[in-house]
Amino acid sequence: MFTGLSLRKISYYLPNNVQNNEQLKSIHPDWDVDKVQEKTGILQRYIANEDETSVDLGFFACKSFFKEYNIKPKEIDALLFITQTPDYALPPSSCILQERLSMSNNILALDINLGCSGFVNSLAVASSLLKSEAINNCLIICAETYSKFINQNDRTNKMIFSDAASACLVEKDNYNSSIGNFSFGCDGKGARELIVEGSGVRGNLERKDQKLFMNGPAILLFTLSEVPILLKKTLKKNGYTLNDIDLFIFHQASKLVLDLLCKKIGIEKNKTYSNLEKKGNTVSCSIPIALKDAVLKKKLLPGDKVLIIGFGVGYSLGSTIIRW
Amino acid sequence: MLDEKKLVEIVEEALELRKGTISSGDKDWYSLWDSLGHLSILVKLDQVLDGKCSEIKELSKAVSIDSIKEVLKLNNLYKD
Repeated sequence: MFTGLSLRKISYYLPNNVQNNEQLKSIHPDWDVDKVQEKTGILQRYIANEDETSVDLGFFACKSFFKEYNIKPKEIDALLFITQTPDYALPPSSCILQERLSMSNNILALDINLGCSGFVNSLAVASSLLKSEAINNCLIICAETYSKFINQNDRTNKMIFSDAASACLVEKDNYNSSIGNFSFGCDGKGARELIVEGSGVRGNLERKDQKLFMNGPAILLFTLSEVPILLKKTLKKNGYTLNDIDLFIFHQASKLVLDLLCKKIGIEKNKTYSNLEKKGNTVSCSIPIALKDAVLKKKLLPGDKVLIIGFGVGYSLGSTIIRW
Repeated sequence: MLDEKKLVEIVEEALELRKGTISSGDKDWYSLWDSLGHLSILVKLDQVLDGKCSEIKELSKAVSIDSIKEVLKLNNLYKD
């Protein structure tokens, strides 16, 4: 348990370009958009402009963060940049951002290549660094532009994924808040079930057809099988039961997945928070954005215990409980 | 434990087909068995089999009634 740590300061940025389901119906009259919407629960998505990258979105999220909380970039000790759509294979996006934001040259800047579990697992890294006294605060930036990898005729992926960036500060504070013990999971057998072939060094050296492939049924089975186990492990590690938790925030995968998880685990819908309808699945940004929205909607209040759980690409999972 | 009749019923319900469509011999319905249709079938199967389906990863690749039968048989969840 990391007592005296908080992550109450969160800002996010969404691209200006919004694509709603009515627009999709006119682009793809052959698609049964209503039927897909019923399963995903997503009414619209944000799409980065052609020349807008993850670093750009992360930059705007940080600008908004520094303004909202009146913090100067040079006050940041560590910067973790979580993305699966980096501007370059090298250099790291975190270094580019350090320069663009005029942050300190003594900063620890790291990129973390994780998707839907990225925020939670990075929070574990940040919490450990703070606990070790190596740093006094850590800015976790999640930024994704999955839209760049989506085939425009891919009905499922095009209707699910949304581009976004979030900036969240983990810091020592005087609040009565804490970040709990973490549980992790990884099963590389699922690596090929959500993949962009040719996006790295292996295969497809001509760099063509780098498109997102998602085996939805395989990921659904993995999620329904592993997430309930990890969630129970997290409760046990922190000495809580389901009833002790005030709010559950899952990675915002899709309505179908969230409904099934709640049913399987035995969580009432009013103890969860979802912003899928308007935000879509923003990959690593989905949990910090949902935390911020839950606070704004007064669904998450100081002192509440919120369980967060990320799961997906890899396969990879992570979970913890935060006393807000 | 499922049998042929129950499995066909599950697929028909999941794909929102009229009862008897599959046994009618008409193959047009199979176009509805896309990735979304497959998700719906897995969800229905999981409900009927009390959550046992999520443990059977091979079901993600079973995209016909016969292949689902085979996977369920191997896991003692189907009887001819």
